[in-house]
Amino acid sequence: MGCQCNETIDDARLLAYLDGEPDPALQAQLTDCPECQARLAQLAREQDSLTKGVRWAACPTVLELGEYVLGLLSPERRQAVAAHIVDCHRCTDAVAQIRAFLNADAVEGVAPAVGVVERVRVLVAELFTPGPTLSLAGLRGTVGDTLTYKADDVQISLDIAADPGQPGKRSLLGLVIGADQSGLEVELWRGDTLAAMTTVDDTGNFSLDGLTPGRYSLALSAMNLEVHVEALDV
Amino acid sequence: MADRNPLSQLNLGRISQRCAEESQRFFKRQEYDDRYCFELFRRAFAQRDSRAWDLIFAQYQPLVQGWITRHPSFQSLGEDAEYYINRAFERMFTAVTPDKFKAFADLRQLLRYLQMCTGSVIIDAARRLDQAERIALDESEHISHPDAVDVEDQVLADHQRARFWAWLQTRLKDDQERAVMYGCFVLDMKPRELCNAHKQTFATVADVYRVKQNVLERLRRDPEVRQYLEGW
Repeated sequence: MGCQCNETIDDARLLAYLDGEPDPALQAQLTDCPECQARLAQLAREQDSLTKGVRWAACPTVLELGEYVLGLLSPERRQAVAAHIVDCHRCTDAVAQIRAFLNADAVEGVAPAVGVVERVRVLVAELFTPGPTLSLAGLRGTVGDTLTYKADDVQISLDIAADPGQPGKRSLLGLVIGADQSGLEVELWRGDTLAAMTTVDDTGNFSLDGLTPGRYSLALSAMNLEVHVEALDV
Repeated sequence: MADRNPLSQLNLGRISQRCAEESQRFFKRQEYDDRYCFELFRRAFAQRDSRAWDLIFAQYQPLVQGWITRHPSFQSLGEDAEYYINRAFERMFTAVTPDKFKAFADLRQLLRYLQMCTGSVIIDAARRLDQAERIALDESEHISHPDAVDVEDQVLADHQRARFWAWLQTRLKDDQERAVMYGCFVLDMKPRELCNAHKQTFATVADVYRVKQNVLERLRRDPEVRQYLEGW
């Protein structure tokens, strides 16, 4: 049995009806015509299937939308994403969410970063020349290697000796010249592990004992200065 | 030639320690030096140093957790914060290649990117939950977890849709058909909405429906479309 309706109903009218466009006459006809009901159901399935096949297919990823918000896209890509966002309510919503999230919990604004002139001066010292033996070395017995490092106006002389109190261990004696010694902290690192620490005394001297032979890095730090000695073999 | 960045010569442990110290100052709203933390990021992203990456994760995990738990959508997603913390860091690590790292001038920009990654992970989870609920509606089930739609399946489905849409466009005749397909099916606009947005293309909403009818009729006869789409 074919269509029972008095007038031919085209698919355009059925599609409009599926979208909720008011059509009382069509509604009445559909009630009495199984053929048209079947056509309506088929159109609904086709639309639904096609929508599932391509819905949001042209949308950038949320990550790309976030990069758009942060101004990290190339000019060409930025333009393309902006053009898409104008038409796409899903992406418009996502961009708004990202912006609100970034603004609500802003990373910046909590505290100012230190200005360039106020930053800690970080220096990496270079081996200068083997320096003179330290005055304290004679009190400790056998003198080991003496090394002098320089970084700008700071000079660090290091004396490595056998630790008399601990067989098999080493002592590191240091003399710092050219920096304000008060409160200068000394850290000795082995790889990523802090091995020992001390402070420089009023005469610029420091010592670290009981060190296992190996390669270390030395860091001297104060309020506005850091000096590092890398690849120090003890 | 002397290295312009003296921090690049420091051992990782020292960098990490100073980063932690300066971060404490930051959170106490004191002046802070961001170079150590930036150096940690540089080693992780520009040099792909996995140890530096582990230190970044440990250092900033509490920050990311705070962002997640304060996100307005978090409670409704039904997943632990730890899950999203891991996803956020993964997303940043994958997205920021050594080349891309050059675009970041300071720590603030890096942390803002990490924050954006965190937000994007939450949005994606909310979308997956929405899709899961749509599927459940079709199948008369109740699904309340974003991973009811598998993440990998979702990515694959997104790629398939993009490819199908690119192919489908080759089947369209003119600007009107492209506008209808893009507006109604890709962007999920109602025809009346599309007509209002493209008044120069469509005089009335009836024109939109006429074009839609013609396109569907032609695609219905296309064996490749029928093969791809269910129910055709």
